[in-house]
Amino acid sequence: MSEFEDLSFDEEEVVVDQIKTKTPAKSKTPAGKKVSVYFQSTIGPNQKQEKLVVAADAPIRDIKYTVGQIFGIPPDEFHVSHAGRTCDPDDSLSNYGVEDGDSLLLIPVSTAGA
Amino acid sequence: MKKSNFFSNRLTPDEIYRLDRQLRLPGWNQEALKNSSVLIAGIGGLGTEIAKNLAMAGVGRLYLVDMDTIEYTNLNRQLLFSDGNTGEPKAVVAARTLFRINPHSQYVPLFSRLEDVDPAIYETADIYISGLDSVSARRELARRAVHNQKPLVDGGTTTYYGHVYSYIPNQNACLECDPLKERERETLAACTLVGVPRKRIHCLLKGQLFFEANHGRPPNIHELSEMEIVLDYANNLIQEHFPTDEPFGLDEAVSIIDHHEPSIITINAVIASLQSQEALKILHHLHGTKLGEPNAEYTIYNGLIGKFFYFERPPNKNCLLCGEFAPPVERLVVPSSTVCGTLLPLLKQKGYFYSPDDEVMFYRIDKTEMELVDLESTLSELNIRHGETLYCPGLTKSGRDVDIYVKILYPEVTQ
Ligand SMILES: [Zn+2]
Repeated sequence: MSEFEDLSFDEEEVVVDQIKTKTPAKSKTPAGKKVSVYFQSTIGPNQKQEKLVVAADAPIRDIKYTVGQIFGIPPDEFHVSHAGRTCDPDDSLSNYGVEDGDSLLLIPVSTAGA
Repeated sequence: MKKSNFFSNRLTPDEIYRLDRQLRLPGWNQEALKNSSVLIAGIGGLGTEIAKNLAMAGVGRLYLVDMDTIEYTNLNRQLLFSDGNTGEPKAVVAARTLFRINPHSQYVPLFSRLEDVDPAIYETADIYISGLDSVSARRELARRAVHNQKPLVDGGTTTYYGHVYSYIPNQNACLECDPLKERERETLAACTLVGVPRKRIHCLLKGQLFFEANHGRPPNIHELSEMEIVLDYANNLIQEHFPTDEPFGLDEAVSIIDHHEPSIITINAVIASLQSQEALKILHHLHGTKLGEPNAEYTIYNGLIGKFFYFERPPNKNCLLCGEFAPPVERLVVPSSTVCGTLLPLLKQKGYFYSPDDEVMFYRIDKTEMELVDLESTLSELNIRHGETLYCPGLTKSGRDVDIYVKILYPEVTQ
C-alpha cells in the first residue's frame, strides 16, 4: 500500500494546476460575440439536432465538453466539423468563420481500421 | 472497334470464364482493372476485406503493406488469416491466401513500415487505399498521395461507426488540410493520478495502481477475483468523488485496463466494401473509362441507426501539404551516377536560388530515419532510390523564400 500512498504527496501542486486549467484567461473577457448554431450528430444511437448559442471565441474544446453532455457523447469520441473543415479543439469557432444559423456536425473519430 | 471484355487479349480464357458475371456489367472494363496496380496500406480489419474484394474483382496487382504479425484476436474479423497463422507477417499470409482466392493477379507482400517501402512502388501504384489504424501512418500515406498526385481512398472505423473519404488530387481536401491529431488517452502516467481524481476514469486507474502496489504486478484481466479488487477500489472512489456517475462494470474495466480499439466485422466490411467500390471506379476513370462518378465527399456510416451522412471537404488553401504555400515538388530526371551537389545548378535552372554564404542541404525523408545527403557522393553511392523524395529548405524563388521537395527519377527506370 505504501508505494501507492507516496503518489499523493504533492496534492497542492495539482490543485493549482486544476485552477489554472479551469479558469482560462479568455473567460474573463466580457460580452464576446455569440453565435446561434445547429449542432447535428452523425454518431450515437439516435439522430439529434440542437440549436445552441455559443461563444464564438471560446475554445472548441470547451464547446465540445458541453455539447458532449447534451448529446450524451464523450468529447474525445467526436470531432466538430463546419463546412467540411474538421475543427481543431484548440481553435475557436470564429477561426472557421462560423456564423448565426450555421450547422456544425458531430462526426466520429474513426481512425481505427485494423 | 470498342473494347470487349469477353474478347480481351489481356485476359486468359480461364480468367474470362471465372469473371464471366462481372464482365456483363454495363460500363465495366476488366482490362483497365487487369492493367491496374493498387497499394493497400494496412492489412487488418479493413485491409483484408479490401484486398479480398479487389483480388476477386481481378485487379492486376496488389501491393500489401503491413508491418505487423497475426494475432489470435485478429481472427474475429480478418478472413485472410486462420488459426495456424498466428505470429506470421500479415502481408505474407494475405498474399498467400489471395493467390488461392484468385491466382490470376499478382500479390506483392511488403512486411514493412510505410516509410520504408521502395519509393518506386508509390510511383507505380495507380491508387493508394488506407486501412490504417493510426494518425501517424495516415499522415505518411497522405504525404505520398499528394506528392505523387495519386488518389487515396481512406477509411476508418470506431465502434459502430466508420468513414470513407477519397482524396482526389487537385479536387478536394487532402488529409492534412485539417491536420489529424493522435487521440489523447488517459494512461497510468502518474501526473494525472496524484491527489484527488479529477475524472471518472482516474478512479479506475487508481484502482489499477492500488492492485499493483499490493501485488507487485499489474492485475490479470482474465482473473475475476483480481478485477474485483480493482473495481471495488475504483467504485468506492466514484461514490466519494463522482456520486452521480455510473460505477465501473467488469467489461468496461477490462477494455480500459487492457486497451484495444473495439472492432467488429460488419462495420469493417461495410467501410471496406465502400472503399473497394470507390477504388474500382477510380481505376476505371484513370484508365479512360468513365464508370459512374467517384464520391468526392466525406461519407460517414452510423451502424447504430443504419444511416449515412455526407459532406463536402473543400481544400484548405493554407494547407502545409497541398495549399498555395506548401513546398512544391520538383521532379528531377538524372542518372544515378550524378553527384548530389549537381542538383543545385539543376534547381537554379528551374529558378531556385540560394545565398552563396548558406550551405544548402538535402534531407532524405522517404525512410523511417531522416538522413542528411552528402553532396560529394553520387546518388547511387548513397543508395538513393528511383522516386525518392529529398527535402531542401531555405531556397528563394522570384524573391520569396521557399522550401522544396525534390523527387529523384532515374532515366533508366523512367523510360
Ligand atoms: Zn491539404
